[in-house]
Formats: sequence, structure tokens, C-alpha cells
Amino acid sequence: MNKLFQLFVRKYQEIPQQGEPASDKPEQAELLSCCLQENIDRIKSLTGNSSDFIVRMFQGANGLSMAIVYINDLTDTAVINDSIIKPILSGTEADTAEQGSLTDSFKVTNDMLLTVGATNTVNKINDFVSALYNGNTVILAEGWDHAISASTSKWQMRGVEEPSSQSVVRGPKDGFTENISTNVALLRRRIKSPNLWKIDRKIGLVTQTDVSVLYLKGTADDSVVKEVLKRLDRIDTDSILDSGYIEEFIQDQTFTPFPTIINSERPDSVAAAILEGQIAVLVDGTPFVLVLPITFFKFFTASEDYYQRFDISTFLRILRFCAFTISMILPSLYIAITTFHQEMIPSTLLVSLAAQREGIPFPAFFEALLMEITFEVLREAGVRMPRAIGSAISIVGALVLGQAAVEAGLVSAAMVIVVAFTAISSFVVPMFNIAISARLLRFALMLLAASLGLFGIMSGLFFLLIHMAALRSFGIPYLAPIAPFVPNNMKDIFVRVPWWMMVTRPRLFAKQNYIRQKVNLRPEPSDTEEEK
Amino acid sequence: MERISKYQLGAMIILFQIGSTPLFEIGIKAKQDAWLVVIVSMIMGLLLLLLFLAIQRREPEKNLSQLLVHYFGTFAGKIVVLVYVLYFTYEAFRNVRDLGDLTLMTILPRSPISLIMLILMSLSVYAIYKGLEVFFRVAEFIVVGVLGFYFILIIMTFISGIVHLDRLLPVLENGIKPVLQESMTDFWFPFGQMFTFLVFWSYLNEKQEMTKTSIRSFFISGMVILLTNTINLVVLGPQFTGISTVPLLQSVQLIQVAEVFERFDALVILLFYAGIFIRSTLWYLAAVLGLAQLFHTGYRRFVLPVGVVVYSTTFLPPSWQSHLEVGKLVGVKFMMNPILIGMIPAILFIVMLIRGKANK
Repeated sequence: MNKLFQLFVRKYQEIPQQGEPASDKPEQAELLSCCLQENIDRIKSLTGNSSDFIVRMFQGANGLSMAIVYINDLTDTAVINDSIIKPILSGTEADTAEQGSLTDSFKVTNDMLLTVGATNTVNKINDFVSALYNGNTVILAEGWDHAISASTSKWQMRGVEEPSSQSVVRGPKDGFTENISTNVALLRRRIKSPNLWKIDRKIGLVTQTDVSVLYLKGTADDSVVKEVLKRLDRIDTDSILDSGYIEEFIQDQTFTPFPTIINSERPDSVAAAILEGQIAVLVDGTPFVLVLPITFFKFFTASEDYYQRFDISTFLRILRFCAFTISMILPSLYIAITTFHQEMIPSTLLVSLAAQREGIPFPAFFEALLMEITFEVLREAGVRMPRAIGSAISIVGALVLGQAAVEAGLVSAAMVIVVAFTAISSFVVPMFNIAISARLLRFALMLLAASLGLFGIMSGLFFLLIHMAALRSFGIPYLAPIAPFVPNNMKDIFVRVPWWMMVTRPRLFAKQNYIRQKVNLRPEPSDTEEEK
Repeated sequence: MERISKYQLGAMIILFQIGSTPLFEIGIKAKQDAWLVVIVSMIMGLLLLLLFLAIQRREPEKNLSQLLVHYFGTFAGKIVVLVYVLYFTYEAFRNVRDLGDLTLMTILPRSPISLIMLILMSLSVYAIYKGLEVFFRVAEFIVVGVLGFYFILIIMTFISGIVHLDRLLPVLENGIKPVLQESMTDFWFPFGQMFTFLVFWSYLNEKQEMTKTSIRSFFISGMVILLTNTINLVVLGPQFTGISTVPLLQSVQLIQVAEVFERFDALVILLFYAGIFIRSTLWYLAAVLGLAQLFHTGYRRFVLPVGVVVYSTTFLPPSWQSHLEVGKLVGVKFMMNPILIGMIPAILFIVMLIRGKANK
């Protein structure tokens, strides 16, 4: 399969690279010239005279003819007016340098006049352009062969809201946004440690998307950090619009139904992951942050598990594993038992099932396939449809397709129950992307169950088990800590022990600095209280 | 080099030993004393295990083929290795055929046996192709489930009130002699087959845990075998157990708890499936590893050829009865087990002792 895939890829590599990025390169690498007008003309021609490029030319207080360039919708005009134009035009300090050389005028403008936070010197055309796209304002003057880029960025964005894909009853309600700096801030607010290190990359020739790797230095495995950066640097594409792009470029194995990277919208769960030695990859423009490396069992951990009491968390964990199994195998189990192993059903139930199935024209497999596909269509419709017609879909779905199908004798009532329960179960898993793999595998297992009964299901599950046992996420075996068994990590897999017992970090991700807290933290009433 | 942990080794020993053993009633010729046969066989098997462990402890980093070549000389050693490869292949074939016939007899009477065995073989090929480490991880993952399920079955038989302990009486009706006689022929399977782990012990990463883990797992699996064996006796009685093809299935069919939990036999087949899958794959892997060491190459290139041989030989016996007959013929008449599992390891150990002393 991989070889076929490589053939496919190779075919496309032979096509010579053409288009924008390649032909632009030599021109963009050029340096700024001393002539103000020439620089402005070049920028204008490079951007095709786009109307949102604002060029404002004026005479500075020192008599130098200057220009500022910015993009209208990416900048804060108030800042430009008050902190750039106003001081330059009226700058009293500039008088002292009036007779000075050009470098002095540059220095004075940069050091004494501008009242914006961060400034930068640019001397290449392409740095100039990317500064503009980041919302900076670039200041040019006649005779300078470099320019000042002042940070003035401001654009409309969504505020910090409750995450829509992972909600909790108890716990923090803030979620990541589309802005990478907001997201980094959300994490820094939670981990106030100098050890939270951040490494930046710009990926995508055209989109120039900011990608940040965050990890806890001294806890995370340095070799994994290195590997992540290596894989990120390998990416050479023109656009990154979501962390999903990055995920597909850096994951360990493509041909697997199981995700090997988690994505999360919740700052608290990402912070918890970083604290355990995992690594977060933030991508600008999406609220979904990648967390890696992971194991299969991480998908069944909700951040709320750590905020609720440990007993209910343990119960819910086990419930989630059961629900995941159900969502994967219940329809196939129903098919296998009704088709091949009727003797396993208690007699009274068997009679009732047989009576229901009496008028059904299809074998159980087709009945199940029909209902499953109907449900998948409904679900997809529910996600894509305009919000206003939501109620119509649910009426059609629940009443027409469910009840009417049974009354019309197309499917049995038991099958509707099975499909509905399967569907509900698939929503129990806190991470959406593992529920998707169960959704796909369900159909394969149904086919196996229809042809070979329980033997078929079991063969399918063995196949998956071998596959998962061989899978790795950035070097960590996917089924750890069950296979390979790591007894120390079992405190947080099926059961969630009380916080005071979690003395060490999971050994899987953290390769150093194991100790999380002191040993004897078990809360006990103090002696004075007992005396009372 | 691929490495396995002590948990993986333990899990593999448990699953390998249990494997398909509960399919057969060990020592049923001793009638109601069959459970005593199991105990005596276990003790004798333990002695053999100690011999194998003693061999391995002297040369912890060498596996079976390296040991044989090192101590028997290149020529004789390689011939013996080849014999063992054939033996492992033969055992793999037996297990595959066992599962085919068992499935056909019970849960899938109308499916082609070739398809069922093909699926089992493809799973084995896939597992071995993914590597020794992955296969041991699979065992580690399912061992708790398998043990738990056997435990539930045993509890269920007691709850449903079909256990008649008086069926074990009278104990030692004909004296101790039939029990010992039976043990002498029965302890090779499955207890003597711990021999296979001479191929795998060298992959263990904590060598000091080898003896402890192996003996513990040996006892756990022995307890399961003893319990299922006894359950058959106390549920069905010695006479019926003696003529039944798969007695455990019949015992399990009698379980009925609260009118909901009944007819576990399909699930028991799945349990056998898990056991046989592990067992046949381990034999298969041992054969493949042996061949690889014989030719000094990577083992993955032998996966398919050996697989084809195993799969095609499964069609040789015309029926399960003749399959069982062949098993008895090879095992008892040709003395395969005593020679390959008993005598050659003993000779090897003696040679090791002599050469070891000579070297000093």
C-alpha cells in the first residue's frame, strides 16, 4: 500500500514546480534602496496596487520626507495616528538632530519619537512585506536603506468563549480562539514557570502561518521535542489553514483508523498535558491545539475527571471504555447473534425478536446497514445544515425515519434501538476523533459479523489489536501502559486515584523530573480537631 | 534487537499454556482421578521447566538455535535446529487445524474450514510480520481478559448449581499406579511444551526475573487447566467426559444463571480462538526464528514460506478424528515429545556441564 502511495506521489513530483513561490523568490530577497519613491513603487507593484495598502507620505519635523505603509484592516489606526504620525510630525527632540546625518535621523526616530511598544529594523523587501501582513506599520524615509516596522496590529477576532466541542459541568469554561497569541497567553496564565518554553516556526509558503511548539523544559522528553521540530521543518507546502494540516504531515502513520495525535480546544487540558511532559503544537487561525505524543487511553480522559471526585471519575472512565466498545461492536454483535448464534439469546427474548423480524424483508445485515447509513446521513446533515432548519431535521430523523420505518415493516424495532444506542454511545468519548475511528470500523465489523458471526468479529478485533500494538505516537507505544505494561502508570487509566496519591508523573511522556508532589499529602483531621 | 518485558513473557506463558488445553480432558483414562493426573503432570512439567531454565541461565543471551549450534557443533547443531523447525511447524499446523475443526463443529457449521484457517493464518502472518515485540504486546493486552473470563466461567458453574463434588469419589479407586502411568504420557502436553520458551527467553530484558516469572506464570496457567479439568469431571461425570469431544463446551452449556446468563459456549469458542491464535502463532514464530538463525538473515522473509507450508499441511488429515489419531501416533508411537522435549534438552544440558567445566 505504501509503495503504491509512493508511486502516486512520485508521479506528481516530476511535474516542474511552477507558479508564485518559485518565481517570486529572487525578487523578494532584494534589499531596500535608498530612494523613498523607488521603495514605494516596488511595494505597490509587488502587491498589485491592492487597495487596502495604505501609503501616507509626509514631511517629518526634521524636514525629511517620510512615508508610512500599512494595511488598513490589520492595523489600529488610533495607534498609528497617536504614536507614529503625531510624534514624527511634531517631534521636538528631532530638532536636535536636524543637522545630523541620516543614521542619526533613523536612530532618533526609532529611539526617541515612536511611542509604540515593539519596533524592528527591516532591510529586505520580503521582510517588509511580511511585517505589513502581520499588522505592522513600516516607516520609510528618503535616504534610509532600511525601514522601521512598528507593531500596530489589531483586527477583529472572536473573544475567549466556552469551547463548543468539549464541554464540562465543573471546571474552567474558557476555550482557545483563532488567535495564536491569545492561545499562548491562555497557557502562560496557567503555567507561570520559566520552564514553559516556546519555539516558533512559520509554515506555508503562501500563508506564512505561525506555528508554536510549547513544552515544559526539564520534564518533556527533549528527543521528542527535537523529533517534532524535525517533522515540522520537513513540511514544505504552500498553505496551513488548520492544525489538521499539520497533524497529517507529522503523524507517525497515515494508513491507520486511529489518530496518533490529540487535538483539544481546552486550555486546561492542554496545560495538564504539558505538565505531564507532553508537547503542544499551536497553529495560528484555529482553536484546535495538537497534543503529542499520546496513547490510546488518553482519548478517554476528560479534563473534568480531575476536577470531580475520584470515585465518580473512575466510574465515568470505565463507562467511557464500555461506550466506546459498544459504539464499535454493538451492531455487529446484534447481526452475529441473530444470524448465527440464536441459542445465546434467552428464549423469551428470542421469541419476541423473531416476531419482530417476521415481516422484515431484509437479512439482519442489510437492515443494520440501512439504519446505520441513515443515521450517518442524519448526523452529517445535522452538522452541515443551516441552524434555522435544525428542528425540521430532528423531526424527520426521529419520527419519520425511526418510527415510520418500523411501522412500515422495513426494519425491526430492536434494530432501531441498537442503532440509536450505538449512536448515543459514540458521543460519550470525550475526544471526537477517536469516536470517528469507531464509526468507520463499525461498518467493517458488521461485514465480518454478517459473514462469519462471532468468529468474524473476533478476527476483526484481533486484527485491530495487532495493528494497535504495532502503532506508535512519536516513539510511545499506542497501547501503553497496558501493552507494554507499566504498573506505575496504572493510577490514571481505568481508575483515577485521588490527587494526593499521584506522586509521580506518568513515566511514558516525562523522561526526567518524575516527582510531581510530596508523598504524604493524604488529608487527615488534625489532632486538635479530634479533641473537640 | 527486539526486547520483551517480564510482564510480556508471563502473559505469553499463561496464554500459551492455557491455549487450547481445556479443549481436551487431560488424563481422562484415569477416570475420576483425572484431576490428580493434572497435578502430577504439572509437577513433572515443573521439573522439565527447571531443566530448561537451568540451560537458559547458563547462557542467558543465547537462544535455542545458537545453543544447539554452539554445543553440538555447526553440522550436528544445524541438523537438530532443522528438526526443531519441523517440530514447531508441525505443532503450529496442529493448532490451526484444531481451531478449524472446532469452529466448524460448533459455531459455524456451514462455513468452509479453509476460510476459517486462512483467517487465523493471516492474523498470524500479520502479527509476526509486525514483529516479535508487537506479538508479545498483544498477549499482554488480552491475558487479563482471558483469565477473567475463565474465572467468571468457573464461578458461574458453581453458582448455577450443576457441580456435584461426589463425582470425584472414590479417590484413587485403582491405586496410584494408573495416575502415574497417565501422567507419564500426558505431561508433555501442555506442560512439557514450555520448551518453546528456550527460543524466547533470550529476548527478555530483565534476565534476573526469568525464573521467577516463568514459574509463577506456569502455576497460574496450571491452576486454570486444573480447574477446567475438574469442572468437567464434577459437572459431567467421568463417563460422559470420557466420550465427549469437547467436554468443556458441554459443561458450559449447562450453565444457567438467572435465566439470562446461559449458553456461554459461543463465547468459550472465542476463548479457545484467542488461546489457539496465541499458541499457533508462537509455534509459527519459533519455526520462523529458527529458520532465520539457520540462514543468518532477518526472520521476516521466512514468514510467508513457513505460513504456506503450515496452511497447506492443515488439509492433509481428512477429518478431526484422524487428525487426533495422527497426533497420538506422532506423539506416542514415534516418541516425538520424549525425544525432542526430554532427551535432546537433557543431552544439551549435560554437554553444557561438561564443556563448561572443560572451559574452566
